[in-house]
Amino acid sequence: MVRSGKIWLAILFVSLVAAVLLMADVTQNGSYFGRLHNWLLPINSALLLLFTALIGYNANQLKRQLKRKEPGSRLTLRLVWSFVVIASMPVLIVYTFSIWLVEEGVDSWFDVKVEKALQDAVSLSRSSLDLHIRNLSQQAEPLSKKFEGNDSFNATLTINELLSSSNADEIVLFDSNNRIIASGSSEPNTDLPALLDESIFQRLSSGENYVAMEPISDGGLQIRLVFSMPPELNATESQYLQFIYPIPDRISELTNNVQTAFGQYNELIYLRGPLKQNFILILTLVLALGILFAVFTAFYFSRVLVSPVRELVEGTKAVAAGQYHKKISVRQSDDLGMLVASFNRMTERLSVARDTTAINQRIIENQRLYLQKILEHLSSGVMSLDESLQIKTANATTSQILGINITEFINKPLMDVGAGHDSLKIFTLSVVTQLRQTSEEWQKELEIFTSEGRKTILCKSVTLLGEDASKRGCVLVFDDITTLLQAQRDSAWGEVARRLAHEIKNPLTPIQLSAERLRRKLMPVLEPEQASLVDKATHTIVQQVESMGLMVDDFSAYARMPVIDSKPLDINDLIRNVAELYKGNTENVRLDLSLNSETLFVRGDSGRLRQVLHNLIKNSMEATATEKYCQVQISAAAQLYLNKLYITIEVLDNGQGFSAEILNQAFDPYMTTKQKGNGLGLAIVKKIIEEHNGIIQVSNRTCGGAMILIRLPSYNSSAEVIDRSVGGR
Amino acid sequence: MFEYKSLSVLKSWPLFMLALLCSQSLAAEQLRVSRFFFDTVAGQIQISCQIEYSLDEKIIQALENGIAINFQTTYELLSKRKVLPDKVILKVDQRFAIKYYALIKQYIVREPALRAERSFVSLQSALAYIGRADRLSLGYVTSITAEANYYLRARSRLINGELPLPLRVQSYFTKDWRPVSDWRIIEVVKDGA
Repeated sequence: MVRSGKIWLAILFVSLVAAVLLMADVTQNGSYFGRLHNWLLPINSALLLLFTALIGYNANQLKRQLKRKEPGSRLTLRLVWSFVVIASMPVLIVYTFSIWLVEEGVDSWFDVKVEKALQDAVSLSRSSLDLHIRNLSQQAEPLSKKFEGNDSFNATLTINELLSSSNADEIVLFDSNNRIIASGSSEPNTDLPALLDESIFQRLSSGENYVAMEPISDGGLQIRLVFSMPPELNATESQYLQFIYPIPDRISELTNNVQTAFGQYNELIYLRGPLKQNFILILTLVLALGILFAVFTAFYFSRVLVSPVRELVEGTKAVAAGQYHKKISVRQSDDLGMLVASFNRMTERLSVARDTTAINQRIIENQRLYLQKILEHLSSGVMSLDESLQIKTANATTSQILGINITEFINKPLMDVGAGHDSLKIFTLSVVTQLRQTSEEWQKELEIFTSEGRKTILCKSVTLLGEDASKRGCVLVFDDITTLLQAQRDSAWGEVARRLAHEIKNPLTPIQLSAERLRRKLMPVLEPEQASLVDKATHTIVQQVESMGLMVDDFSAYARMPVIDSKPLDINDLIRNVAELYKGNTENVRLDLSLNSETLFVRGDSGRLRQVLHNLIKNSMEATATEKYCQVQISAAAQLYLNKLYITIEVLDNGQGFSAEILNQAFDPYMTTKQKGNGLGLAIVKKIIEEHNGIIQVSNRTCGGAMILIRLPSYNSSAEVIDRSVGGR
Repeated sequence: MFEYKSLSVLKSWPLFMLALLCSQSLAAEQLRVSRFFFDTVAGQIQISCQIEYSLDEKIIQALENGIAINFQTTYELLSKRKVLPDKVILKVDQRFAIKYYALIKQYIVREPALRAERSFVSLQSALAYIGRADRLSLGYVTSITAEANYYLRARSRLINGELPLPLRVQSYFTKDWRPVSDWRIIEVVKDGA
């Protein structure tokens, strides 16, 4: 491409120089290249048009490239301008100087003295010839009288006589119609005499004689004298006598020389103006062609120079777009060629690096997927946070444990989880506070209340460190240890109850038997007073042993808490059945039910829940034993709590309520204010409710009395058979 | 006396094109064919023509300064064609060169074809001489057939190519230096038509 461009450029240049040189040569030597002149000016004009068209095309292309902001276009424009300015300046100087030289040079060809000398020479020659002609005319004019009264024959004789007596070459007698009457010549083999032309006749008709010097065919000169002869007496027409005199060769030669020199000089003077214009035209043509060639060459070389730069820019763009396999052909061995080769090496290395990175990324991605798979199947919830405590990743177990869709909070602050869910507000606040307080690893048990009920979460935090040991975030691991803790607690309390039952119950029987034996043996042998004392003491021992036996039975019952048998059941039915047992059996007890007209299904063990209600009613009745009458209100309803439907049971009484110190420990075992109570009633109730994934709260009513609130998850499924058997128990 | 049309016309087309491009104004008519007729004598077509020369002042001035001016009068017999340009059957070119000799105060007319020259005391008489053709033989009547239609035409022009180079370049840019007459056309009527 570049090579062929150079060849075309060379051809254009050679054509340009040849055309201009020929043009200049033709101007100087028209005889040799004169026939080419008709072609040269159009050829040069065509070249001019060709260059103009090529430049116009290139300029238009450059304009479009500039408009499209193509790489290298501005550099091309700058190079073209530089080339044009560099090339034009000397050409313009030479042009201006040449114009001046032509103006002055052509004028210097003509010398006033030479011109005057030539004019003088012509005047001298003409004077000399005029003198010669006048002499001949004076000699010839009297001879014409010899033809007066002659006829044609006599005229011929007279002509022959005159030819021999004079120096005339030819004598001819014409009539008024330009017909030859008689003629004679000193040389016998000459052509017919030339007739008189119209201008001669005009002069003769005006009464003048015709006297002139004429050129002849062999380059010499002759003198023609024509005299008008008056008409004869018997004739009406005039006759004309013509004398042709030769001019000596030497005089002819000198005359011709003067004539030629003067003619050429005069011609040059006349052509001075057009000659200058011609030179200026050629110079202007050369200037125009030179400048246009320079401009065209500027475009060409700018393109050649900018081409690698443009390819480099495009290559850079391709690399920026990720096309690292982009290669640029190295066409030159100069600095730009080295730059292109360096670029190719760079892209090759980048390509290798990218491939390596891609492989590593695939490895990392595989590892990430592997870890994600493991995390997804972990029973623990795992959540990663960045240094601003925004959630970056979380596995599915996290959602299960927290009871929310944690994916909605990816790339959001952890606090947003608490803001979106009231049940997690305290949890998230605790976690965030802990994370902000310490960058060490920590572990904490936190409680949340989800749709599945209260949960105890073991939360662990591990800090993630960057390469410079700076904190980059942390990983939170959640474990739902609710079941575990419950089992541990149940197991501990069961063991306590079992040991208590075992350790206390075993000595009770010997104590009772011993007391009864003492009474039976001693009573008959003792005085009445002493017998009464023994009777009273043994009675007390036996009574306390029986009381302790009952207490041991309660412990045994708590320790032997059977596994619940969950079935769907209607809470309304359960409450009505339990309440029915208390109607009419006790005085001063009023049991009010406020039940929902609709069925309130929960999934639970009817026997255990019945025990809950018995314990609570019994507790209320015992709490109001000192009052005038006992009023117990039991209500049940379905309520939305934390966007989940719950069955709420409230048990109210009109007793004294819980004291402040008891209120927080009401559900702990052995916590009681009653003299005969063992403190296990509410503990068992709480245990049963929690086993049903519910919660139980105690509080005091504002109007006096206590309030027990139970929330059990609602059960809404018609697929399972509802346990109606509770009504029969 | 007559010749078929050669390709010489092609040689002058660049000048013609350039002249067309560069002409700035239409000059007054300097050459005019005022009279043109023909006759058949002894089987030959003889033409007679009268051309009037009213040369521009620039040309007269050039002549008076010793510049030789060449004129060419062209006579053509053409057959008409419907689609293609008319075909030149016979053609005669008469060339004259006029030059003024200041020393002898004569206008010399040269006819290169005849190698003849004549002198005239005035330019008018010289132009009158070259503008007149009497019974010039164009060719034989046998060149004409009954199947085609023919016509004769005549035109005179100044030959720019024979001007001195500086004037020749100037003549490309002004029509004053390129005087040419219109074609004078006469129909050739066949016998019995």
